[in-house]
Amino acid sequence: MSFSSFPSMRVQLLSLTTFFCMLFPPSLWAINLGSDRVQLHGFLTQGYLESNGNNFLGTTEDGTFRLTEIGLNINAHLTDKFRLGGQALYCHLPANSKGKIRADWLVAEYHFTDPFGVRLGKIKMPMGLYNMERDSDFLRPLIFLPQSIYDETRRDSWQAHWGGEIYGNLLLNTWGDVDYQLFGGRIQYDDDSLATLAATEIVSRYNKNNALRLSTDDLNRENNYVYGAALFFNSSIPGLRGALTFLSLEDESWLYDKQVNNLRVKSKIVASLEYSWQQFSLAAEYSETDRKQEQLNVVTLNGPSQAWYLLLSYSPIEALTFSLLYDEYYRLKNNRHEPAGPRNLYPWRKDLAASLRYDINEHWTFKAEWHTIDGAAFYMGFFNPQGTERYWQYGALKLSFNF
Amino acid sequence: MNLKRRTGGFLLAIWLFTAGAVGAEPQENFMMVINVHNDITSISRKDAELIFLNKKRSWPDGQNISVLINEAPITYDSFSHTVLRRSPHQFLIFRKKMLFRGQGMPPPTVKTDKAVIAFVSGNVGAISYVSSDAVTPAVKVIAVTQ
Repeated sequence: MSFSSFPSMRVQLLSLTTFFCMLFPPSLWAINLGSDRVQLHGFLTQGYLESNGNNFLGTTEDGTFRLTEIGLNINAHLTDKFRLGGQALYCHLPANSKGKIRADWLVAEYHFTDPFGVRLGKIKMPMGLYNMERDSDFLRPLIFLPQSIYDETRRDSWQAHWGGEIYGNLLLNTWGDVDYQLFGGRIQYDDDSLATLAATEIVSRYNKNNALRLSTDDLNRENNYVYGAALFFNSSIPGLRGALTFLSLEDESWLYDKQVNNLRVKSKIVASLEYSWQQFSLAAEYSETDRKQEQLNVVTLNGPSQAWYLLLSYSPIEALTFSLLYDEYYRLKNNRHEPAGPRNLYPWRKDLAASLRYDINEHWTFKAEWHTIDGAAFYMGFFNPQGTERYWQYGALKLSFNF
Repeated sequence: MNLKRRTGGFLLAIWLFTAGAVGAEPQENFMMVINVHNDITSISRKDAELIFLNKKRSWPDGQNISVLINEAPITYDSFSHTVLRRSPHQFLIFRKKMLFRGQGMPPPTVKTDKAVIAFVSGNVGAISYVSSDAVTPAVKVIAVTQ
């Protein structure tokens, strides 16, 4: 019996380990080995998602509990400057049928000096303020981050890359300090990633043209390269933080020896600002993604999208935060409302949301939120093959444990 | 009752329950301490912030810095607001982000001044903080300058 042929066994093992850790004081899991230090941490989240008008990320109009994440990580400082670490992640989302365990990140880090360090392995990609913590629910202000920039259908695609990065912190005298990252490598796409599953339309067209019966299982989606940079500015004004991130990548999809899709993201730029004052905080981000897509040698998309949001939060007590979100996305910045084909009549998304986050204690977090949406961008045709509604809503509840 | 009404009702109930609650400004009630064999006599607030955020990892002489977080409530609150300019809760979230993003290991924590004194006196590169009345000759107090 091979381990890989029974993925449910690995899921059970990860679940049991996490559950076991929940039963014991977390301080037990910081293990000292002589002068070296090893730490084991993890998390478990369970959510509920229900939508009206359209399905969102899967079959959600009748409600679903398929909103589970389990993570377990281990870190070891082998010397003062050298660290090894990795995190295994099980993610079960409404449209993600297989729910496999994967390496979320796997890092060898050498910290030469404070302004210069190197990381190699599978590394989280910086994009805007929140991309690097998308797999850890208790680190995000919302269950579903503003979709205009943190599109959930690309969460597994643009989460991390295999390659390297240099990083460091630079002091700017009285202005504050800057954390920087420069990275490059390749993304490894899983067979059950949403963007791969949603390619059924391309496969169907290819089958029709060639009298074949191929499925998305025959599709090979590859990333040729990804590179980018990120600057996080921590100003000397208490509570004020800014960020500027950039990335570029190229993807290809193949059906055996035939290239059926090419996506080149020339640039994805996100400018971010976050300000906290007493019990209030405001986050705002603006992004444009300039890309060109060809499917079966026909250009299907060419030009920049546009995205921005405002998130206002109020914390009457430290453990409790109410947030209001307004979020806007246009598939094409210069052609905002023209239908993008018969399955994408409303290629925009305007989201008004209210949310609550309650940190019950250091380890447990509860969240609730409601979204009211105009538009049906981001693969909504795939989730709603019978047709999409322009106006729709969804709500979610989630409980997280971390140690 | 549908999910929208249930969620809305819950949000409203929590809002009403907590309306008017206001956090008090903390008083400065901590002393920054290092090992007695360390030559440093003072540290800027910015350098201390970078050290506790894991962005500055060595002393000027090249010695590795060993950070210890003291979670004794009043001291922790005072240190966090004064030096880090963030609440203990925000500092906790910062450390969790560093850990779960794969960017580093958070420093160890203790809950008593006594444990801090024992750690700092036994580690040449150590830095931490204790309440003003807990200082002993086993550790060296340094000034935090603006």
